[in-house]
Amino acid sequence: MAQNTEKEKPEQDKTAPKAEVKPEKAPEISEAKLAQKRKEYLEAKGLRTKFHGRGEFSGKEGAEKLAHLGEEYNKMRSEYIRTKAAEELKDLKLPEIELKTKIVEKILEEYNKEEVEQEKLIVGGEKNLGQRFKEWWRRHPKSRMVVGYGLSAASIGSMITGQLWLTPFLVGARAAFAGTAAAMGAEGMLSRYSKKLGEKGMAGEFVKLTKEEKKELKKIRDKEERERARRTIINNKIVNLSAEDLAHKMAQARALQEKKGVKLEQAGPYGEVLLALRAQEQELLKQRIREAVEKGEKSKEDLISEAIDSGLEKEAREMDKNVEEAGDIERKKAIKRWVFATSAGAITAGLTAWWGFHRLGEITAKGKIAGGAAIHKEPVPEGIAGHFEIVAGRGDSVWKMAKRALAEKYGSRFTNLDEAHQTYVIDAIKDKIAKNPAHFGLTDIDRVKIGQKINFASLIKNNSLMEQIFGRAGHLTREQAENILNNNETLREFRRLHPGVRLDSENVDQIVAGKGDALLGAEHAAPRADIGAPEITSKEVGSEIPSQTGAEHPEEVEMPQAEEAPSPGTKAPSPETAPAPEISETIIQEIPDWTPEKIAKTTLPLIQKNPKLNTVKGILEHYLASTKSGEIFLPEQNDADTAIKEITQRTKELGDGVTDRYEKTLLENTKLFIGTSAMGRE
Amino acid sequence: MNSQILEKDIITLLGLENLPEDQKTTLVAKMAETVLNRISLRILDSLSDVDQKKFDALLKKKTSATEIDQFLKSKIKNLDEIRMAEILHFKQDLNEDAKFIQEKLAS
Repeated sequence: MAQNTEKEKPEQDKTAPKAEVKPEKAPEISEAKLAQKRKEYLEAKGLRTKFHGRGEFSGKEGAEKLAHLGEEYNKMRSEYIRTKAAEELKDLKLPEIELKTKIVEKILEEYNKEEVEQEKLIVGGEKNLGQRFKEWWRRHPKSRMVVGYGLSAASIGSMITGQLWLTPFLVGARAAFAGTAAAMGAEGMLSRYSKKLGEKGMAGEFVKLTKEEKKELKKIRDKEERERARRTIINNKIVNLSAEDLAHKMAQARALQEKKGVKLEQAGPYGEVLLALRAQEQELLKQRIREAVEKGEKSKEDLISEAIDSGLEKEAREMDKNVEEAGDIERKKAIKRWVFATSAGAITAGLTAWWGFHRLGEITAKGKIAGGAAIHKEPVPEGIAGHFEIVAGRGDSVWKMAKRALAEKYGSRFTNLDEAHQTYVIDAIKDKIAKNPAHFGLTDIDRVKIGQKINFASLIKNNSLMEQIFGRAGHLTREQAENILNNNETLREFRRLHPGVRLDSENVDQIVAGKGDALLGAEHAAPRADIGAPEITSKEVGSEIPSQTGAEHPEEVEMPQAEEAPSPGTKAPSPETAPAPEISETIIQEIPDWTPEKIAKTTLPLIQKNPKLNTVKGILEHYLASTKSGEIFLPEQNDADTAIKEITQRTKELGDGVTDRYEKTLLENTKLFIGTSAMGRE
Repeated sequence: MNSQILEKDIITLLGLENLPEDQKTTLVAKMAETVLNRISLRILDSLSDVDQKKFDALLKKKTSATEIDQFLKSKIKNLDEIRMAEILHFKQDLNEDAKFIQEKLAS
């Protein structure tokens, strides 16, 4: 075991803060220099790992020396790869997205070369071991999928906004994430906590027996009977815990779980207590959500958001206590950050999974909760919209207000979009408002008064609609995006040249069509003094004069023609017209336990219903057959590419009903499965 | 370490959200391949010479996945953490390197 402990230590080199490399200061690193540093480092690592206790890399001092060497090597490797890739790509003239892709591919190529060089040094004695091991991975696509999901771990924001397909990963990854602190080189601290927070430590404190209870238990002679009595006492205590106490205890348990790196059920003799606590926590949560939904008080997003906030706060407090004794401040901070993030993911995933598994949306639509009372769906009270009700300020416009509402609701999912795509999404929202301005308290979409409130909730909280809009924005062609940007630029230029001309929904078309001069008559001209007037015109006062850099969005842009990019929202299927659910609840409940075989088996019936997906069907059938025969499953790259395209198309065709997301989940998993399996081909 | 690394999809981190879906999948699959290489190395690096030989013998015999897994877990106690840590380090490295190169090319 001592050997293993030592073997983990080299991980520290990776946790060492990466030295910032400034472009202008990056020195030239030759391949030979890098090779020398690599050799030096890996040999030192080998010395420490394989001859523990001897040599210059033994002991605490040796560990520090090795960590320093590792840092130097990582820095040099990074500089080499960056410089080389930048040099090779410098003359490429490509659109941004293609250039970004090329950069990533180049980096991956360089990473792989570096790994090959490392492999030569690490498995010098067993020359084919590395290859054989990789081959083994290829025969086990499940492992490959786990890696793929790890790379695609969803943000909290995207989970909330309805990307349920990642839920199975997050649920499953909880245990894998637990104990990431150890992988960061915190093994020394972990071993201390293992003693301190062991099964007989904190876990035993969760549901304490009183002296009287212990006395009573001692009186029972029969061992089994005594155990039954003990369980009854504990169960009664758990059931009677207040929601707050329960949440507190679960926060402690999760903190313990992170430290120990084990699943709750593996937490020794107290595992059952922890599991019972968790079951009760889930029961209370379900009850709370059910009641809130029945009363029409809260939306799913509100509840998830609240649960994350409260759960994180409690867990963070517990983590604070637990890492208090860790000596290294940086390590402490890092552990907190990692655990904080994983906790958030787990809470979100748990809630979302529960929400999905119980098909609350579908059940609510039917007016019943299974086995329960009918739901009286009441109108959503005013004020629930909360921050989606945007108040107009000086210089505001519907466009700007919609942009703020989108940024608040979708965070980086919206703000990370480039200008063209943001424009597309905002314009889709604005179009919806233009169709029925009265619904939003407007008489004219081009006019908002200072202090006027616009409630965007009915649009922005409509997940089905918003997914359609984001989806379509995501599929803008390069030409369409350029068209939008050109229109934006035309409007900016017009504004710059004619700051006094009032713009509205009508004349924007003229401007982008190059007929802006016709607007320079008196009817559209308005003095700048209007800016401060109580009634403001969105097109006119809606923004400051666009900056010269062109970074600011114009208030209005022309969208591509329908045949180029369908107007967002016009094709969004209503819940009534969304495709019927095709997956049984039984399958849904098994999602967290998916294996490639299950994915294949559960996806196959869906694919069989769609004759277009013959390739996918063929691949999966082949996979199932090869699983039985023990052969290696590797689809041909061409087949895999076709299958991925077909699955993507099928996914696009689906609506966004609650149950459809499960079909999407299956298809997305299958896609990744096929993708990673195909990559295994030599 | 930026906590966003954990929370974000690698595609989002790299600003490739607008890439067509099939290209995204292919790119993630390529990344997965690289990460697997790293994980393999990390695991092999954690084995002593003797254990490497034993492991090689197991692989040659086409031992079942469960047996391979058992063997590795018996030799490397934090196997799962190593796997997950490599994924996270990879995300961080790739994100930083890509950003650096983008900035350099833009300058």
